Amino acid sequence: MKFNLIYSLGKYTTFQTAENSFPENARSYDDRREEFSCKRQLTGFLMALSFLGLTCFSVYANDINVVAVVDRNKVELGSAFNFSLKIDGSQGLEPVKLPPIEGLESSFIGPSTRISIVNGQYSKSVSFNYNMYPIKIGRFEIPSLQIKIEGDVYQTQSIPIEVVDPGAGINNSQGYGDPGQSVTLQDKIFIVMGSPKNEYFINERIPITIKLLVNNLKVSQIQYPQFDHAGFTVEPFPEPPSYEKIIAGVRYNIWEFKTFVYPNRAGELTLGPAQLGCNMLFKGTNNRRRSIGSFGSIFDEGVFDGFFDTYAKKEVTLKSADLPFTIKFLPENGKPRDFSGGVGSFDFDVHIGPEEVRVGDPLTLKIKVAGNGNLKALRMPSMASVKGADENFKYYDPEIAETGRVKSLEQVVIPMSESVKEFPAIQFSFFDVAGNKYKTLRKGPFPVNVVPLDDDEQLKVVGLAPGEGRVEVNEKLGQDIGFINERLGKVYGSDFLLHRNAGFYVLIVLTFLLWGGCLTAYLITRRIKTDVKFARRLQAPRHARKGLASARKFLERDEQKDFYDALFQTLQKYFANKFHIPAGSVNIKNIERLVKEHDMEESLVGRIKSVFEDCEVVRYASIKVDKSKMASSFKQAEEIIDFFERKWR
Amino acid sequence: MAMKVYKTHFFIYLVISLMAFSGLAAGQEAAADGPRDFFVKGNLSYKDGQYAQAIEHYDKIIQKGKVSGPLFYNIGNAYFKMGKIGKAILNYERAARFIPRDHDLRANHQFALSLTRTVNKEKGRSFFAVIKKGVVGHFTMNEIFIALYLMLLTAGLAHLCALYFCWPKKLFRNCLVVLGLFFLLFMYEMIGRVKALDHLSIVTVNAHARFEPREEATTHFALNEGEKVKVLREVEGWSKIQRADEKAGWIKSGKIERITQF
Repeated sequence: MKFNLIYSLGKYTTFQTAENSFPENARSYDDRREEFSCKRQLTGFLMALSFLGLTCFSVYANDINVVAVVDRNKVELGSAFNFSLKIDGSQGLEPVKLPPIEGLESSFIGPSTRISIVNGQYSKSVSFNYNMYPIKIGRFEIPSLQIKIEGDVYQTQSIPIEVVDPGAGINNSQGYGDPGQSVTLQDKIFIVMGSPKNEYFINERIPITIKLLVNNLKVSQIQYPQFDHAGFTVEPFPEPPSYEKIIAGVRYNIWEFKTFVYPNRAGELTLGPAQLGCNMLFKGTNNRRRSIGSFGSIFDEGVFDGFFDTYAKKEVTLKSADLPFTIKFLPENGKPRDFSGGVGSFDFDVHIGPEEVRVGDPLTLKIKVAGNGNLKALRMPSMASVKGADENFKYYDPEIAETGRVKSLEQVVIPMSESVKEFPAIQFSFFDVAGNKYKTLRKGPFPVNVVPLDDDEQLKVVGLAPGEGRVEVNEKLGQDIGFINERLGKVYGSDFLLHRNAGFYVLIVLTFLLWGGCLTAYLITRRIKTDVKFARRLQAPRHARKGLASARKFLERDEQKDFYDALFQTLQKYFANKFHIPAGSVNIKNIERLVKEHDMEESLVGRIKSVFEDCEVVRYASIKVDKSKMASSFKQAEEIIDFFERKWR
Repeated sequence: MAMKVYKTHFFIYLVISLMAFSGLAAGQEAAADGPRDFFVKGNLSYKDGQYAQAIEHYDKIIQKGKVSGPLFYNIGNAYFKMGKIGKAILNYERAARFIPRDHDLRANHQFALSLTRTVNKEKGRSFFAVIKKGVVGHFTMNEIFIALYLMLLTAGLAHLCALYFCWPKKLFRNCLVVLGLFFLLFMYEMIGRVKALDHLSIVTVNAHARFEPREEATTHFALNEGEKVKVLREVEGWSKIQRADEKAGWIKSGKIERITQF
């Protein structure tokens, strides 16, 4: 019993049985289909059994063997063939990257894994599959490949490939033709871009044709061509027609893309190169049929060949040569004043109706211009250029539309008095390329019968000067702007913008300063309320100033005792507040300690001591001192307080 | 003593009378050629259908360095009547800098815009842009600037009140958050307007924007009269402009006029 299980990309697809188990040639197709469905039901069971076998039997076929195979050696240009690199007895291999091969392009499809269990012997092989696309006719060779597996180097054999012209047939041994004549894929599929001539006028209509030519190849999903068109306006491509044509004895399928371009400026301009994308279909290797296995033999050859052909799709971008143009300015000689900008051949038609209207009733003016020029760049005849239109008619902005090769204008005009008898002639000027000169076409004048209004119907048209005419207001045309403003309003100077006014920025800065001041005041007040030490130190100089003022009065009156009392109390209170100590504990000893603690000058202690001793002498010993001594004590006290205020705030 | 008081009063009356008389005389002299006189003359010309003459009178006011919203509104109307829609829109835009909430101005401006084929940027505007336009879009730049100042002042006062009168912290915080949001919104609008102030222009005649600043250059896109564009830079009589859809191209400087250059 022999079972082969085939996996592709790790997913189960189908299975094969041993050929000798089912003599299929002896059975009908229906019988085989029935049998095939039975086999599918057994598949799960067999797979489980095979994996059980894998776990139960420890016999492995470990021999490594590398083989390169192709499904055919002779292939037509435009067909693809299959190349496989089969590696037996190894696992976990990375796909092999093929080197560049002359005359062929390759594309990796993916790996497939085959596991076989034969009489309890397990073996596994991996195949790397590639699609190979011939790009020219001739004899080529897939070179020998060297593959490194588990430290050993294995080498495949080289494979000769013969690419023949599909027109010559694969059975023709001379299919690739004359060895001296190299036929490539570029000879069998290409695009060409062309124009009838290379010299045109600015805004002239230039026909452009881009042809895709394909010889004996299959293509799909053909995209519209694209090309660089700096300096040109391009019309969109219509649906391209396709046809067959024999050129120089070769039959081509041709897709013809036609469009028109209009040069916007004069000079040497270049169009293209054009690029066109499509999918090339390479005839495949019929893997689908072979995967059916035992049923494949029925369809191997015969009438179903073409029907069951498979194709490999490959995206290609084709590129043409570019197209140079010389673009000329239009001649200034003979250029009409009302030249419309049209270049080409045009005709125009004018219609105005109705023929009879009352004063103020609208007339509809219709102008159509048709021709083969650039309609987008063409200016339609305007009422402003019509002689006599401004005096006799009021008119509104026209509606201009473009449909196909026709540009049309529709405009409402209102006769302003019953004296109007006709609508003046309209003319249209363009440059006729065929005649190489400017042409002016003229239509009209057109007779119009304007009937006066009844007295009770007379209304004034908005915008008319008094006495200029009385016409009926048409409701549809009643939209207009509001009347002017009678008041000048607030007048500004040229520097009316506030953000450019320095005064406003000053105001903002002042506001910030005010806010900062208020905030600082609040913070100080709060600290005074909560921090007694801070409050006392803050108040010390103020109290000192008051005390010194009082002492000065006693000094001036020469009242010694009161003077020294006041001076002593001032200093005592000052030091008590400054150092945040009780007034009673202010004496020389404590002051000396505090001065040292605060790193102040030692000489200061002596001066304080001197003043204090002077005070004590007069206050307690009742010794008389002269006024100069008092003044000296006062000055010393002032200097001490001043020193503390400057050095220790 | 009474004589002294009488003399003092007489002197004060004399000074006031002289000042009033000289002021009145100066005012009458100024009124003879003042902005209001030209404005009235312009209005009379407009009513007579002499729109070009009306514009001449209005322009004299601008030449004297005086401008106002109704002045630009009337100039816009005169241009509209002359069929110069681009110029009309330009002056409506200028008027909107002074009287953005004027109903007549908005109606005329909208009507003039409807007659052009300008690129419409209104579509696809973000929610924030809609809110911004709804809240601050109808203010002049000066009003926005004053609003910003008042918001700062209010925030400062609220802060001081919270300190001095012991407002609840939550109340103060809520006030600050609301004010902060409005402040950011107004500030964002203000910065945007100041940035665009000297760059916004209006196309006064239909024109083509080109890839390069020369007459023979390839046309990039068409510009319709009345279209608002942003001037990016200027080179020898050509301006590089950016349309509302952010396409940029070169146009002759004479075909556009800046909104803020009168």
